[in-house]
Order: sequence, then C-alpha cells, then structure tokens
Amino acid sequence: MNEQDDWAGLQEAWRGAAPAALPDMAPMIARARRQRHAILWLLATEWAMALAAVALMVRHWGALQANWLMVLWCAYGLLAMAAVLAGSTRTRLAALHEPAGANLRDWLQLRRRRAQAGLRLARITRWSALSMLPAPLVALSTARTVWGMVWGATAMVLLLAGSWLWARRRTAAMTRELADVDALAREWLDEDPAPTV
Amino acid sequence: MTAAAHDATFKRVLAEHGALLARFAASFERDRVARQDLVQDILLAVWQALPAFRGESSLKTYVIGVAHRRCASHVMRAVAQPRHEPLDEDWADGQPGPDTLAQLGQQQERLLAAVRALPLGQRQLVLLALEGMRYDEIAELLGISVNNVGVRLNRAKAALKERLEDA
Repeated sequence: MNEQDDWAGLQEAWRGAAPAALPDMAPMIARARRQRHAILWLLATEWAMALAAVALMVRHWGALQANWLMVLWCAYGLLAMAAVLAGSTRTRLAALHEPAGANLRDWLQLRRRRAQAGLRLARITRWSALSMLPAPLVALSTARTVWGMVWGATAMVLLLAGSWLWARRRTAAMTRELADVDALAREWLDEDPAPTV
Repeated sequence: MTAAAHDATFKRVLAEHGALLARFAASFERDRVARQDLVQDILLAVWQALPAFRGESSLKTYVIGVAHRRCASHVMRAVAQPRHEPLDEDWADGQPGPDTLAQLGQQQERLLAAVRALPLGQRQLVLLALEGMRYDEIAELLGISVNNVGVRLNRAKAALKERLEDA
C-alpha cells in the first residue's frame, strides 16, 4: 500500500468516527440574542445620557459664560466623555460580531489591533481620570446647597474611582490578550510575534 | 441575511458539518465537559459569524475557519489556566455506553491519540488535511503560502506516522 492509500485510509477512519451528540443550541442562541439587545440598549442609554449632559450645558450656557474657567472645564469634560464613550461603543460593537472571512494570520492581527485599541482606551481613561481629580473639589465649591455639595462630590469621586479601576483591569486584560496573541502566532504559525504597542 | 435565513443556514451547518465540528473540538480538548463547552462555543461563534458569510468560499471552509480560530483561542486559554483532571479518550460527547464504545474502531482511537499528541502547529495542519481540505484551502485559512503548507504538512504527516507506529 502506498503513502496516498495510507493517508486515504486515515481520512476514512477519521471521518467515520461515531458521530458525537451536539448540544441543544436554542437556549444559548436565545441568551446571545438577549445579551446583544441588552448591549445595544445600554449603548443607546449611555449616548442618551451624554446628549442630556450636552443639552444641560447648552441650557445653562448663559450662567456658564460668566466664568470662562467653568466653560473650559465643561468643554474638557465633554470631550473626554465623548472620546471614552466613542471608544467603548466601538469596542463593544466589534465584540458582538465574529470576525468574518479572516484567515488565522489576519485574525491574529485583528485581535492584536483590538487589544492595542483597548490598551489605548484604558490609557485615555486613566489619564482623563487623573486630570479630572479636581472635579470633586469643583463640585464642592460650585454647589449652592449642602445636598448638592454632597451629591455632586460623591458622584464625582465614584465616577473617577470607577474609571480608574476599570482602566486598571482593562490594561491587565489587554496585556494578557497581547501575550496570548503572540504565543498563538509563535505556536500556530511558526512566526516571531510582531512588536506590540 | 434575514432571521429566518440565518436560522435555516445554521440548521444546515449543524446537519452537514456538526460531526466535523465535534471532531475539531475532540482534537483540541480531551476532557469531556470542557469539550462540550468548546463545541457550544464553536457553534455559537458559527451562529454569530453566519450573517457575514458572503459565499466567497464554501460554507464548509467558512465554518472550519471559525472553528479553527475558536480552538486556537481555547488552547491558549487552557495553556494560561491549566486544569488538573483525569483525561478521557472518548470520541462521543455523551456518556458512552457499551454500544458507542464498540463503534470506536481501534484505528480511530489510535488516530485520535496520535493527533492529540502532535504539537499544535502540526496538529492543526493534520486535522485540516484529514477533514479533506486542499493545500490551497489550508493556505487560505492559515494565511501562509501553498508551498509552506506542503512543506509543513509533510513534516506533520511524518510526525503523525511516527506516533501511530509508536502507539
């Protein structure tokens, strides 16, 4: 028997194996659909809240104009929010789709690019949080009532702490992802990893 | 792709390529429970990827591409978080009864063990070739040249043969 016959025999044995029972996918698909809807609703809510913030700023434009420092501060806050929101929207929308038609090498590149984008987003978030550290003090100094003071400062502290923690976790996750991608390229494609970040 | 067409194509994938996907999972995961999870993961990924299928390749190649990438991710995750559990060597995902075990030819068992023993780079090539993919299809799937596939596949086949002889 020649080598080709040997190989044909192996293929036949391989494909003739007892068929495995496939899991019932209906519940998983239903859950995936629900998760997709939840993510889309969450994104829509986030953008609606951002628009509400812009609308509030426009509404109180007259009061803001009296203090140019306040105008600059609000403009900076809005820009930072828009950058983080746009980045996170893009990341979450991309995660909803399985990359199509890509070969293993392209797919690894895509994963690498996504991880690098994730790292950049985490870095922007961390620096935004750092540069907005005075925000609770601004909230304290500009509030007209004690209740407004407490509420504003607490909200700002929670927002900044949350952003900082999220950025830390995201950085760790994306660094792990980059290491995984490099290992995959080494092991599966026999190639040296591309320089990361 | 409409929702109805999406569901119909997915059913077709399950009917025509379900066994292939289970074999893929069996090649990269020996633990029965983890293998069931991997099969679910692959099927879900296929379901998510189907709306983007444009017919530029055959449905089989497209589905294998998705399964292949999922298995790659799974292996890297498993390497990062190693488990310590007894391994089972059964093909079937359900609890194998005497009838199922009887169906497993000795050659098939030896073949699966030999495939699993190959290094990952070689295992994927042998697996794709065993599933009947041509050199150009494998090259397209991996993003390497056809010549490279030829060279590496020959090495992988030789390694498989060695392991089959050792078994």
